[in-house]
Amino acid sequence: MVSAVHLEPLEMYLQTVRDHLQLLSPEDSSEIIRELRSHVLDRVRGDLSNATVSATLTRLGDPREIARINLRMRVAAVVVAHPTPLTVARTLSRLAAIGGKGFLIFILSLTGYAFAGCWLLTALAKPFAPDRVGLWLLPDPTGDLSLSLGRHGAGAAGVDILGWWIIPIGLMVGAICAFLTYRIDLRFIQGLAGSQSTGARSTV
Amino acid sequence: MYRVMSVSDDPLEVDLGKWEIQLRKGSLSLAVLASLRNGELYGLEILRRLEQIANFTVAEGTIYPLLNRLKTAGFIESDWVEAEAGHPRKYFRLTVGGRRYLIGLSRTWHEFARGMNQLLAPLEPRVRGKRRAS
Repeated sequence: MVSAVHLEPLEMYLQTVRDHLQLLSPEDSSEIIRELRSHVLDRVRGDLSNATVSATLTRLGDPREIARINLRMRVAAVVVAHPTPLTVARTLSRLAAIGGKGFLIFILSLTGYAFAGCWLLTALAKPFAPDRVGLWLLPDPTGDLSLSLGRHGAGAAGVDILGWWIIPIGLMVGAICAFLTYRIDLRFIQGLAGSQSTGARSTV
Repeated sequence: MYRVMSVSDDPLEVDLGKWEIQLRKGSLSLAVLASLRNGELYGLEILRRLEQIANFTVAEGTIYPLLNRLKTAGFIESDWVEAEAGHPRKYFRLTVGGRRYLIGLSRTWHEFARGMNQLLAPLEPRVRGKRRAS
């Protein structure tokens, strides 16, 4: 009975961690909770007094931070083991949900892939609509010129500045852009996975 | 997130502290794998071994994410064991691939350290003297 009372701080701590692990599968979340509970019980060595349990939890760190580190690294670890474009994209979308830098990189990644997609689609569509698809130089009412990539309205003013060259150039630019976006995403996620030692302290 | 015990306003000391942290950070995976060289250990045992032998103080809550990363990479494996302590413990051990990886890391480390030691040998007494003086 005494131990149940004194383990209340531990259960509250673990519940806070669990609450912040909702992006993980129930199995992964349970595993983390089990690891932490086992660790605390090892650390207190049978001394379940309130002071010892609380001191151990304080030493373990803020439960929200513990959840965040576990979540980030569990998600990132999958990419380190299997760095395919699909796992990178999936992981990044999960990291975006955690917020912070992950969200920013996710937005940048979306922009990169959208840009790559525009070039690739334009290049692929060119043979099917040669007069309406391309990179267009368009005069606007103020007298300035603007560039437009993709489908052009029938009869609208504008010059297709690349012509058939849009096919090799579009494929190349799109592929390079998609590859660079993938590499940047991968590097970011690998950086997260490699930051496991965020608690490594110098003892000098 | 990193803390250096000796707090100093001297930019040089601060820079040295940061450098040491980066060095430790880069070698933490190697230290964890090396701690498992002689058999399986549970989380707290790994932390204690790192602290006692390698003077590594790792924040307790971060050891399991690291172990999970090494596990996902296939370098270690784990099992829950009902311990005498009255609660289950998760024991970690090297896989065959993990042992090969550890040997490779160790070789690289020794080659690098040998070269650096040779390069820095003439500076060693001066560095010691300076540290003592400070």
